[in-house]
Amino acid sequence: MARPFVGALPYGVRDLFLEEAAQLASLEDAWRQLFEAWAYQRIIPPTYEHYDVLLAGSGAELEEQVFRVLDREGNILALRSDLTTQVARIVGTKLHDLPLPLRFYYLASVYRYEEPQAGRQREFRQAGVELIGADGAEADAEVLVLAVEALRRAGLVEFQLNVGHLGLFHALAAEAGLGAGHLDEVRGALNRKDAQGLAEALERARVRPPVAAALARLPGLCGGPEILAEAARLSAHPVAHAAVERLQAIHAALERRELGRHVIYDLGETRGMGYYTGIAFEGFAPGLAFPLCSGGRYDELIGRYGPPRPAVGLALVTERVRLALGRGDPALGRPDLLVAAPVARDCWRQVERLRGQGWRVEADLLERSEADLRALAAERGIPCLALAATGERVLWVSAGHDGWLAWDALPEAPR
Amino acid sequence: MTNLRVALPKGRLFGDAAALFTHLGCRGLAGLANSRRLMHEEPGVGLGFVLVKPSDVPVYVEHGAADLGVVGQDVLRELGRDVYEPLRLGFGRCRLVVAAPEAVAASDWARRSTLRVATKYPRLARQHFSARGLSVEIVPLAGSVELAPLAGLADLIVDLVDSGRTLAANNLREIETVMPSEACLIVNRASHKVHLQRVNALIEEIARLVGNGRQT
Repeated sequence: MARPFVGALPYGVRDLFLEEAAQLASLEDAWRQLFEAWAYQRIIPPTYEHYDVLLAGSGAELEEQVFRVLDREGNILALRSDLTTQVARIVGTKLHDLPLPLRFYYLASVYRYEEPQAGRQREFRQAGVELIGADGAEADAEVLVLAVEALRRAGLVEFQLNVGHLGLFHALAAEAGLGAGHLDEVRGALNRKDAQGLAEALERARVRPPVAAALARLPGLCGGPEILAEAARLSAHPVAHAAVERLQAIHAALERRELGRHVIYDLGETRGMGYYTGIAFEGFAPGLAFPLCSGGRYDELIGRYGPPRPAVGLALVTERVRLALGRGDPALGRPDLLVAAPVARDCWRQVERLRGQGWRVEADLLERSEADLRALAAERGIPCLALAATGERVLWVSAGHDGWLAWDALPEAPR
Repeated sequence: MTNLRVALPKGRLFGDAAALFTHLGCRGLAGLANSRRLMHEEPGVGLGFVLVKPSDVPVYVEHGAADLGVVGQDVLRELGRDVYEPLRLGFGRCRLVVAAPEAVAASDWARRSTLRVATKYPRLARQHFSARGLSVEIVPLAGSVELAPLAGLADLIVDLVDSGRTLAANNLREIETVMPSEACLIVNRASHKVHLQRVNALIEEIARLVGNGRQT
């Protein structure tokens, strides 16, 4: 077989550099600060694990999408396809005796063998949090608030979180007595919002008319908090009741923070990871066809690895958020100051002092002439230039200035 | 406010789909069939249109290049794209069927260990036969599927039937239905959430036009 061209890349991965890489890093930086301000602690699970161990948590759903690798002993390993499962394993097997709640965040690459879509290659970055050991509405609300805050800090103004809850559907499905085959059919129609297909499936399953009527309402239960009142009337089942009550409590918590306008409710969908047991949500922005973030409550996942713990989490698809923002600021990651090679060498103390103040200082190591340095700064959009210097003064070029200045009289650091 | 974009299928379904949106006040659509233009804006109604191949409609909608689309259920199921399909439109009704040469008895092909099936719907055909425990060899074709048995390319075909005249003209007999199909309205998931009111209002209006008592 012919060797691939030396620049070839396999399908599904890509190189990120310059502005794109800087924008991605600045997003992750903003989120790291946000998560840490809420007292979430960094967790760094390994890139690959035993296939069987990962699968014990994530279930069959991700099975087809897992990248499998054989090690030299013949063990089947899997590249991580989901951080939540890894965190559940770590908490269940290693951290189960720590005081609750536990709060973890991660910034990591995830690998899924699927067709690349907008903003999601087969390797993609995720940023997320897991809140473990609290099962109330306030815990759900905390994670939703973090989703809103994360999108805001990224710089998005227009976005929508779509929050569902599996309880109402599970209650109605139980009341309807849906068997496995019919359950899949009904679920499929619901997830497509296919009202007629749903009606036909309910008829085939011979669901009793009052329960069928309630299930048939689900595709329409999508909108503001007003739909929760109607949802409350659909079923007297305690699971349904608890689900609607939970969403109402969450809405109250979000309203208290004046975030209600970013949230709509959708009780007609049963999407999301197979391990979700309560709320499940996705975030959307205008102009981007795929969700920016997703999350939900998974009260039974950690119990597959150790003592059971209720938990709720959120994952942002970093690259999709970046796409929703549009082109990044070209100034991102660019140096603030270019210093001539002799300045960097002879006045290193002053240059270091500037770096300490927050200046991004690039040293020219190529002994360029003054004219070449001016041209380079103009080409790369570097706003300040130090062409020559003594112990006391520097030949400083910036907008509106071109001449000698005392080192002490330089402008404030730009950040 | 930007126009919501609708992907309309060229070909068989275009006339009915264009008539539907013409009823909603999109006066410029009628002339579009005979022009070479592939995009059209109706700012008064808040809609824009793109004309694409039927099998590209779900692709445009899933990727958000169009917010909504009109497509046959046959094409939609074959492609298996993740979109909402809130409304059936009542036109473009037809059936996806299995057909065999008239000369071959049905019991005959059911007993064969492998069958060659020519179709434009490889995914649906494979699902259909594997659900019945039959192993088949799928021969994917791009057109004139009814020719395949005559030419000795396949034992059976899976194809769309409207009146059944094409089958008869080629000495083929319908054996069973894979699925009934009609045109439906599909919606991008993000558009549905982000433009909830506008999209729902549009769905309501179209539901009224096609005489479908859908409630929201």
